[in-house]
Amino acid sequence: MSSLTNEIDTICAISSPSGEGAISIIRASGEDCLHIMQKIFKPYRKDFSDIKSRFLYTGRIFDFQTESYVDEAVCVFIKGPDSYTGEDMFEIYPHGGVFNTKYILEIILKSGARLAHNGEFTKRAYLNDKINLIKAEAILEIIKANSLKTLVIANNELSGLLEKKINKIKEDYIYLLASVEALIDFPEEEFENINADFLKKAQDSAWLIGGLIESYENYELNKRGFSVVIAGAPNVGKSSILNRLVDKKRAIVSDMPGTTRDYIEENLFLSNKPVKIIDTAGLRETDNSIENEGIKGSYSQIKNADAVLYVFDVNALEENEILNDILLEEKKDNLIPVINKLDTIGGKDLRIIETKVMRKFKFTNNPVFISAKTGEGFEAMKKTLRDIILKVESVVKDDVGITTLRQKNLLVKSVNFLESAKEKFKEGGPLELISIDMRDGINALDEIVGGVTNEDVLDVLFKEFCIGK
Amino acid sequence: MESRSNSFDVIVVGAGHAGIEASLAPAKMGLNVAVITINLDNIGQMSCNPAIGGLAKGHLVREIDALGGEMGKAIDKTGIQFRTLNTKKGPAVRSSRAQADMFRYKTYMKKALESAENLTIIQSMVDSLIVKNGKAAGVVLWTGEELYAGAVILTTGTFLRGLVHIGLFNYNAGRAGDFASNKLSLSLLENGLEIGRLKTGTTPRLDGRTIDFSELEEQKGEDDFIPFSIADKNITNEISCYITYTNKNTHNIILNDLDKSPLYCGVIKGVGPRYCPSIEDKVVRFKDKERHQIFLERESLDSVEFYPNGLSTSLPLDTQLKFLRSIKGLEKVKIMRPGYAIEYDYVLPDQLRHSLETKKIDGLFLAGQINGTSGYEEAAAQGIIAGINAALKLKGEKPLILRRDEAYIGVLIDDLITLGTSEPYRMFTSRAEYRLLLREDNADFRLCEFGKMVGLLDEERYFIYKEKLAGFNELILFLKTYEKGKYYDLLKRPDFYLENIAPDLDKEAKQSDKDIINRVQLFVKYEGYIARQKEEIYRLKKFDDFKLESDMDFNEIPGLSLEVVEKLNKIKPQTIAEASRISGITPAAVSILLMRCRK
Repeated sequence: MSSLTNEIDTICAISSPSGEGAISIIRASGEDCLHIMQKIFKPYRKDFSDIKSRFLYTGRIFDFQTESYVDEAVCVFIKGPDSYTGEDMFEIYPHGGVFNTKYILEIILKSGARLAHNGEFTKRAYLNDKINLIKAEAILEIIKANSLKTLVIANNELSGLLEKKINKIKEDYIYLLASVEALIDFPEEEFENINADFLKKAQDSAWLIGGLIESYENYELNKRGFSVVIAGAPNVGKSSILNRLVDKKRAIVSDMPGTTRDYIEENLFLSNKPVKIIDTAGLRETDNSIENEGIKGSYSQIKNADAVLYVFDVNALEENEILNDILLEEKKDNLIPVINKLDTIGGKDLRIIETKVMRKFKFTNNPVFISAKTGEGFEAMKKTLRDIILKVESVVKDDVGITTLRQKNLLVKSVNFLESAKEKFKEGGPLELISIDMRDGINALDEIVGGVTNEDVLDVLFKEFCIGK
Repeated sequence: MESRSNSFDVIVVGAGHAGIEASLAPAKMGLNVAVITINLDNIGQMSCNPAIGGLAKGHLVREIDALGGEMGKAIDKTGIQFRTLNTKKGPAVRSSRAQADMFRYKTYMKKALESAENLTIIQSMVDSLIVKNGKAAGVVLWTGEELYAGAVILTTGTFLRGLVHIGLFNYNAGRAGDFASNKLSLSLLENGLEIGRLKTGTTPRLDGRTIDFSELEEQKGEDDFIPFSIADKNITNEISCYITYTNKNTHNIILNDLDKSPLYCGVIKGVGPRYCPSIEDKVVRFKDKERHQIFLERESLDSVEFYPNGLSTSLPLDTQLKFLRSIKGLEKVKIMRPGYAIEYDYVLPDQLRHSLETKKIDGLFLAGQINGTSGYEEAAAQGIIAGINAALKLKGEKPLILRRDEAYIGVLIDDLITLGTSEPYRMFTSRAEYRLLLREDNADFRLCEFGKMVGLLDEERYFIYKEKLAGFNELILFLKTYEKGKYYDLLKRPDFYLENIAPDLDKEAKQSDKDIINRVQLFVKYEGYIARQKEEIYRLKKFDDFKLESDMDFNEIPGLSLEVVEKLNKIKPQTIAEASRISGITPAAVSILLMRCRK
C-alpha cells in the first residue's frame, strides 16, 4: 500500500492523559471526520447538517452497535486546511472516565477511523506544511517543559523567533557566499571592499552561531532542573533537612551515623523552578565497603551539583574536614555552609561560631544557621538558595535559543565549515573551495529549519510525541 | 537522396551562434538541413562584444567542441588575443577568453556552413510556422513560399519584434542594420506559446584612430594559451587590449541626461540583465563607486573600430559622445556607430523539455536568445543540443540530455527549464553546484563520448581525446607508483606543482604534453573535494529516482500552496530532483512530494 492512501485515511486517538479526570479529549483527523462525527454525535436541538466548523456543540454520543446513547459530550468540527493537521478534524470532550472514554474511541474506530501512531497528528501537520521541523521540535519541548524559562524558550521557538534568528545568520552566510562568487565570476571588476569585509562578517556570524550553540547548554541546564546536593559529615542532620524541605518523611532518620548509604532525590519548586534536592551519604573515613561506595557517590553528586548545602553540626564543627579542597574550590560560589542543630546550643554567640567556620574553610557565602528539628532558619536558607538559582539563571539572558541536540550538532557543523572557509580566505586559498565550505555551512543551517532532511530524523522526532499529539 | 526542393529533414531559422551549431549538427549527423537567415552577410555576426569565452563561457565553448561543435575551432583560427581569466584564483574556475577578429570569424562561419554536406543556405525571412496536428511541419517565408520539414529549430536572437532605442529615438530592427522579424511571434502565440519581452544593449563603436593609447594600461595576450578546440595545436596573439576608467565627470554627464534615457523614462518595457548593466544603470545603482573600468577592444585587424567594453548605453548620441570624451584616452574620440538598447520577444523557457523541444508543439525546438539567454556561447551551447536532439528525434532515438554534474550545458538548460528566467540568462560558474568537476581542462573527458555516441564528433577529435585520456591515466599511474607515490601526495598540497617539486621529473614527463600535466595536477589537488561533491551527487541522484507521474495533478496533493501547485502543474517536473530546483518550490514542498511518492 502506498503511503498516499496511508496518509489520507482518518486517524483517531485519546489526547488527554490516561486515568480518570473531569473531562477527556478524543481527537480525529482525516477525510472521513465529518462522516464519522455524524454517525456518532447527535447534537441537541439541531440537525447535524446545521453544524458549522469551529463551533462547539453539546449533544449525545450514539453507539450504533447497540443503538443506544452512551454519554453526553461537547464536540467541535474543524474544517481543513485551517486545522492543526491541515485536514478535517473533530474533537470530542466526553466525561473524564476511563471506560466511557475508551468506549467512545472504540465506536469511532469501528466507524472507519484507525488508531493514530505516536506523533501522527503532528506528522500530518508537518506533511501538510502547517509546521516545519523546528516547530515540531518546539511543540515537543513545550510538552516537556518543566519551568517558566524552558517554556518561554520553547515557545519562542514555536512562534518563529528562533527560525528568524537562524534565517538571519543564513542571510549573512549567503552574503559571504555571494562575495566569494562575485570574486570568482567577475574577475575583471574592481571589488575594493570584499576582502576586508569578508573576515569581519564571517567573524560576526561565527559569534552569532557560537551564542546559539551556548544557548543549548543553558537550555539543558534549565530543563534538567536545578540540582542541590546536601552534603556533610555523618550525623549532622542532612536527611532531616531534606525531610523538612520537602515536607515529608522521605529519608530514614536515625541517631546512627551513616544511616544514609545511598543518595535520595526529591523534587520541589523554588521561585517557579523545579529543584532537585539530593541527600547524600555522610563523608567520613570508614572501612565499611558499602558505606565507602556511598561516600564515593556523594563526591560525584557534589561535583555535578548546581548548588551545595554543606551541613555542619554546630556542636562538632571540627569533624567537617573531609570535603576535599579541589571540590571546595570548584563549588565555592554555589556552596552554602549550613550550620544545623541551632536548637541545641542554648545561648552561645553565633558570631563566634561563624568567624570560626569562615576562617577555617574560606567559604564565599556566609553560613546560615538552622534547626532541622524546629524549622528555624529555613526561610533564610531557602532565600540564599533562591539567590544562587537566580544568579545561575541570569547567565541565560536571551530567551531565544536552541532546544535540541540535533539543532546543536547542525550549528556546530555549520560553524566548522564557516571557520574552515575563514581560514582559507585568510591564507588566500582557492575561492572555489571556500565556496564549497560556505555552501555546506548553509546546507547545515537549512537542515535545522527542516529543509529536505533524512527521514530517520523525522522518525525519531515524531516517535517522541505521545499518541494524540 | 532525392528530395523536393522545398522539403527537408530539419529547418533552422536564424544563422547566428545558435543557428550555426543547430544546423551543422544535424547536417553532420546525416540529415538534410536548411538554414534560413535574413542576411547572408551576417552569419555568425558578433552583434555585441567581439569576443568568445570568459568566465563560465570558456567552459561552454570547450564543451561544445567536445560534442563536435564549431565555435572553438572558429575562434582558435580567427582570434587575435587569447587570455586565461582568474589565474590567481583556483584552477577550477579559470576560464579562457579570446578577442575575435569579428569579420574573419563571420567569414570562417559562413565557409563552415557552405562546406557542410546536406546543408541548404537560404536568405529569407520566416513569417510563420506550419503546425499540423500539434506537430511542427515547416515554415512560411515572407515571400509566401512554404518549406517543409520533420523538425523546426528557431534561433531568432533579438529579431522577434526587435525594437532599437537610441535615446528617445527608436526603430524596428533585429539589430542595428538588419530587419526585424515582426510576424513570427504572432504565429508562436497562435500556437499556444507564452511570450515575454527582454532588453539588452551594446556600446558605441569608436574610431581607433581618434583614441590616445599612450597613457593607457596595456593588456597583452598569452602565447602559452591552450586552444579552445582539442583539434587545434596553437593560436596567434596579434593585438593588445587597453584599460581606461570612467570618472566623476563622466558620471555627472550621464546623470544630467538621464531624462533622455529610454530606460529611465519608461519607454523600454523589457527587462535587462542585472549582471551586464548599461553604464547609466551602473552610475545610478552604484553611486559610491568613483570609477568604472573600461576595456578597449579592437574589433578586427581589417578595421579601426574599437569596442569599449563596459559602456553599453542607450543614451542619445550627443550624450554618448560627451561622456566618452570625459574619459582618459578618449578626449578626441569619434563615434562610428552609436550604442543602443534593443527590446525583443522571447519564449518563456519553462515551456521546453530538456531536449529543447517545446512541450506544446512536437518537433519544434528553440535555442539561444529566444529562450531568454544572453551571450554567444550560451546560444551556441543550446544550438548544438537542439540540433543534435532534432536529428535524434527524426532518427527515432532518445534525446541527449546532459546532467548538471556532467556539463555546464546541462546546468544551463536545466536552469532555463526549471527556474525560467525574467532577465537575459547568462552562465556563471556559481550556477554549477559541481564546478570542481566541470572544469575547462576536462571538457573532452566529460563529453567526447557523448559526441561520438550521437554521431556528431569527428574521428580526428575523438582520436585526440582518446590519446589525451591515455596519457592522463598513464601519468596518474606513474605518479601513484613512482617512489611509493611521494610526488602524488605532495601534489595534493595547494602550492605544490610538478615544476617546483620535481623539475627533473617534470622534464622527463615532457613526453606527455603540458596540457596533460596540468590536468593531472588539478585532478590530484581536487581529488578530496571532488569525492565530496560526488557523494553529494550520489545523494541527490536518489531524488532523481523518485519519478513523478507525467499526468500527476498536483492540485490533489494536500499541503502544497497554490503558488507551488501552479508552478508544478505548469512545469510538470519528472522527478523530485527536478521539482526541487524549480524556483519558489520550498524545501517543505519538496518533502511533501517526497513523502507522497515514497513506496
